[in-house]
Amino acid sequence: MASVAMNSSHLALASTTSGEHPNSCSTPLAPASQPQPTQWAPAPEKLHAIATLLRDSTSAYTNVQQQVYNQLQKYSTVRDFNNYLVYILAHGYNSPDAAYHSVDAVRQAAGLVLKNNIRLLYNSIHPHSRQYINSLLLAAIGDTSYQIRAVAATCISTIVDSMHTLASCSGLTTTLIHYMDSDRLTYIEGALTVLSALAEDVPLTLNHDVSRPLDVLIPKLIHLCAHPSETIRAKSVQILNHLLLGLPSALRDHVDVFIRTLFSIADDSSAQVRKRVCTSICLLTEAIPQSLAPYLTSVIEFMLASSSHSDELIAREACEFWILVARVQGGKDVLRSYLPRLVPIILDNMVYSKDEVALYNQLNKSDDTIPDTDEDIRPRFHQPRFVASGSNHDHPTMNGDIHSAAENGSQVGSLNANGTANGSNDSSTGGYDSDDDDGYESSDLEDFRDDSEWTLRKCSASAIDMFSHVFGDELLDHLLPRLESKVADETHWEQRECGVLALGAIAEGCYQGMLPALPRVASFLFGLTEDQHNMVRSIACWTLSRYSKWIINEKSRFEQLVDTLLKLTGDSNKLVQKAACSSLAMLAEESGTLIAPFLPPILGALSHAFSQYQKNNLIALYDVVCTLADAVGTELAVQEHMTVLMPLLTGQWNATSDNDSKMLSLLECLSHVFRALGMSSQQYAGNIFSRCTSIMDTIYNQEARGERDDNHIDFLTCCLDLMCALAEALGPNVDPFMSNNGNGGKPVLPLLFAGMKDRRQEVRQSAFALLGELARARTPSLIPALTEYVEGTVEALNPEYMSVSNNATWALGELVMMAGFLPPSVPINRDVIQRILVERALDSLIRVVNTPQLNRSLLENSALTLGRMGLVMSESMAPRLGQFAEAAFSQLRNIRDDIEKEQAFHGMNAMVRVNPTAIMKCFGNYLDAIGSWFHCKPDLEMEFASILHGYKQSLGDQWFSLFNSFSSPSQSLLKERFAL
Amino acid sequence: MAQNQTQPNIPTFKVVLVGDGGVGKTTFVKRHITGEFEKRYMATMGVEVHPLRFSTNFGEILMNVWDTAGQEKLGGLRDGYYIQGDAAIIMFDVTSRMTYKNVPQWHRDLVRVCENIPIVLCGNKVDIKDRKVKAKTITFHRKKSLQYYELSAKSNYNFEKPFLWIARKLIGNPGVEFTRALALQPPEVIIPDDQIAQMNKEIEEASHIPLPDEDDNTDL
Repeated sequence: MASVAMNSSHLALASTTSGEHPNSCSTPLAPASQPQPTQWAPAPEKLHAIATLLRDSTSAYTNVQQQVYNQLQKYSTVRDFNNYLVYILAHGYNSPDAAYHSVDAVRQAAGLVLKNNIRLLYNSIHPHSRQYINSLLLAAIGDTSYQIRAVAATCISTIVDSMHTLASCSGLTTTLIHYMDSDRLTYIEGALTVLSALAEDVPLTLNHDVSRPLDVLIPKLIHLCAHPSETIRAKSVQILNHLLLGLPSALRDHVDVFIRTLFSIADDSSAQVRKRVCTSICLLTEAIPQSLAPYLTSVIEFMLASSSHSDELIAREACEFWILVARVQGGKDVLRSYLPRLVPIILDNMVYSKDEVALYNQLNKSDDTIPDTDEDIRPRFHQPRFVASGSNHDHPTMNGDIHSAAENGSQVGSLNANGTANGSNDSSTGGYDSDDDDGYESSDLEDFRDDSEWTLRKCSASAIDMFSHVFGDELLDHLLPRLESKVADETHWEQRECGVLALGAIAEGCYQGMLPALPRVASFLFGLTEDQHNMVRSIACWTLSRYSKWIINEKSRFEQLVDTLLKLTGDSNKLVQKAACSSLAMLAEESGTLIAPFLPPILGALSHAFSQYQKNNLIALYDVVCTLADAVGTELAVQEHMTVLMPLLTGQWNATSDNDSKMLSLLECLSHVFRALGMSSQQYAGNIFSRCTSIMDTIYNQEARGERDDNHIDFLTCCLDLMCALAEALGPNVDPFMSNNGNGGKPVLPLLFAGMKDRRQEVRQSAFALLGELARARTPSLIPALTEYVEGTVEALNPEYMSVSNNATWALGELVMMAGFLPPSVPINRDVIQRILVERALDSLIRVVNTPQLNRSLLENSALTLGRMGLVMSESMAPRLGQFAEAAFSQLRNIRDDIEKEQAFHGMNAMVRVNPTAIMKCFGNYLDAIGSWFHCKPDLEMEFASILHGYKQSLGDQWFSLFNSFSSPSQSLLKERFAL
Repeated sequence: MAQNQTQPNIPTFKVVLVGDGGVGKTTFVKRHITGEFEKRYMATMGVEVHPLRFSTNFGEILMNVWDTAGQEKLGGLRDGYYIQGDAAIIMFDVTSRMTYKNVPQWHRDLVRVCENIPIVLCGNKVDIKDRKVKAKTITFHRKKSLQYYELSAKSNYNFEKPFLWIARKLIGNPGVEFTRALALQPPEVIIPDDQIAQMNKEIEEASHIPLPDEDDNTDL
């Protein structure tokens, strides 16, 4: 850079001129504290070059953009580049060349590039340059162009963000105050734009800066909420809403003025302002509910009016309020007296809008013969098999979901949830659990899944759902009379639909209160399944299944529901077909084996549907089969049912090619069916193993040639999972299928081994599930390479890959049991295996079990495996017992009685015998864990008794002080169960 | 603008496509047959502009889709590319929690530069299992009133939905429909490297041929 010429005319331009330059801003209010601009002026040729570059950056030609990109890299090393940028931002660049006519865009680009540079390296910019930037940015805040003000604001916020203090932008607070007090709209708006950026980017700095800027700024902001300009009012409320999230003390101090100001603009002519006022009140309700107490009546009146506002956005924002109030302590009592007015408003908000009615009227036709295009089909998820410790966990299933029903008729019921939380696997144990068990939030699932925004209808439906949980049966007095008239509306299907949706929404919360009315309601709903409008038929399906808990106790109604749903699976409308499938799946989930007597008609209907359905609903159908198999279990293994179901599935199996994505749904479906069939799966196993191994083999061969494909992962995991299901179903009888199954099948074990070593964690996860299942079946084919399997499994004990590690931990426990109890005559390398376990597995397992923040299933599996290792090698394990006993006991006590837990306890006892002092520090945990047994086998009970008595004997007098230190349940356990 | 790709009498809009690196922005935009396609992930440098033409019942429109670099170090002008944007698509990867967490940042940067433009949020790769973005975390679009679509570049699932939504907003009429089926890349074609050049050439030629005249509206 040649010239850093001191050019006083440019200098003047930078600080004082106004009006000379068409695009420049003016700085009439430069406060005293503002630094004088540094003596710097641009060199004209550089200025031209940089402005040209920025102009070109708006070109829509990729090749121009490539040049800009390269050019920009070069400039970024030019000294004073940032000075040029801020100069152009503040003053623009006027050129005789007409190509620069959109000067604002060039200025904006200059500012944004400057902002990026500030973000990356503000510290390394020369102080003089920083000062120059600082002063020009402050001047640009008041520019006449909104875009320029916004870019300047972003730059300032970025400076504060990178330096963590407001002082880094000298003169900022004073300038903001001056501008907010000004009567020029552009100044006020400029100040608000900066504040808004700061509130978003650096709320903590604003809140905690030593200069306490909010003490001055918040009262000014509140004041501006009542400004005559709509833009300023809207912006001020928005900033305060943003600040509310961090609850600065200045806002608490002025909350009363704030609320009164909000009231003064509650009837604002601007929908934007009004909506934001609703947001403010919602935020205050959540953050400082007591602040609203003095104004409660007015607040509620305002929100009632806003909830029925003709502007849907205002109404939706206001409806959020009811959900929030209901959750606030004491909110229930406040709301109670308003229910007579509130419930009708919310109900009316649940009715489909005029546009939706028009849309769904078009869809109300027979379309079952119109094929689905591929773009209509939402890809299904297969989740790799995840082994919970033992088989202990309830697998939470999502029942019908309010939002899903509010979404539309095609999105009804458990099918939605099944799409993500489905199947053999409980996704909530998949490592991201623990934070989503809030029943009211779980339905965000639907937001995620559906291509539609958060609507007034959905918001209102969740308010009704919330009310039904908060008020219970009390809600019905206000609701039922309204619903009666809605569902009886003969002329407007959307009114009937809304009534039925509401009935479904309250099914859980008002269950008791609905009981007396249910016989009549059910008959009515059954009637509506024949409604002329498909949306009503769909929602009636959903609502009926919401009451399936009640319906299944009444044989005739149960029968009627099954009949009805089966009939609707043959509806001529695809939405209704899908709704019927979902509802059928929900019913099966709720009823479990009770649905078994209906299997003949159900399977009959399914076989018809299989021949009729288009692609999209076929997937729904597979889901019904999965759910049904889970529900009835072994009842499915009856010749009568198998002769219907299996040819259907075999037909699909033969008709679907290896690489068709439909194959994935089929493989998953078969996993469920075979688990239900158990040993009866044997006749199909040969074919299945052949096909699975051949698919896997083909994929691995392709990959060996460098042909990779994203969907390989799905096929590999689905194949492994299906073989895993068969291993589970067949137990020890799975062994013959390991080697040769004909039909182009390959041996299973080499593929399993490849899966264990696969680079994709999902594949490894499924591989270890299969390995564990084979070890559990004590499959002799594993024996020759047992050491390698143990070694491969130990290598996977890395909690960073939670799901893999979970399954590997479980598989290791099974391998340990297998190795430990093989007859001595079987030649395996016992010493080597033991050394691998003690030297390499033990450390990892101990580390995991002592990290309670890890996934629960992983912790439990680790405790089980440690216990089982103790069973087969107590001498080698016992010296380390003190390092994991406490953690292991606290995990084992959470596990329900089963064989794995039993083996683990035998193992723990064996180690305690070898090293009794190791558990002295956690004796209470030991007792708790013993107390967790409901039905303890006699031999285990004897072990506990003899160990506990042993302690008493050897401790002598000390025993009594120890005894007194136990919790009272432990003391009574000892007294009552072990006579101690 | 003199430099913009425009065609006489066709309304032209600038649509900015943003999101973290690797979420599939380029693959998504190249699904349209008029673009070239790529088999492997190659990080975008700066920006690439793809002109996409749509036939609607309100006439032809052209969307210049600005496919911006997601990777920090290749960002070029970054939000400088949003200037004069008429609409935007924010994309994240439903299998990567981090890319979702960054959505508010992308959104913030967008609205700072383009105050009131229609913005649509797209979750991509929905067909990959073990979705690491748990349902509950997808609330951003709810609070910000963003339109949300889930996409699969692999199976073309929902491919046209974001564009249709944007077209409706830009034309200002909810009755806008695409009158011809979009020409999409067939899902998951595996092309040996040596054929790519040849195919590129063919596609280049094909792009001068009018789109197939099929009255297949896939939106409903």
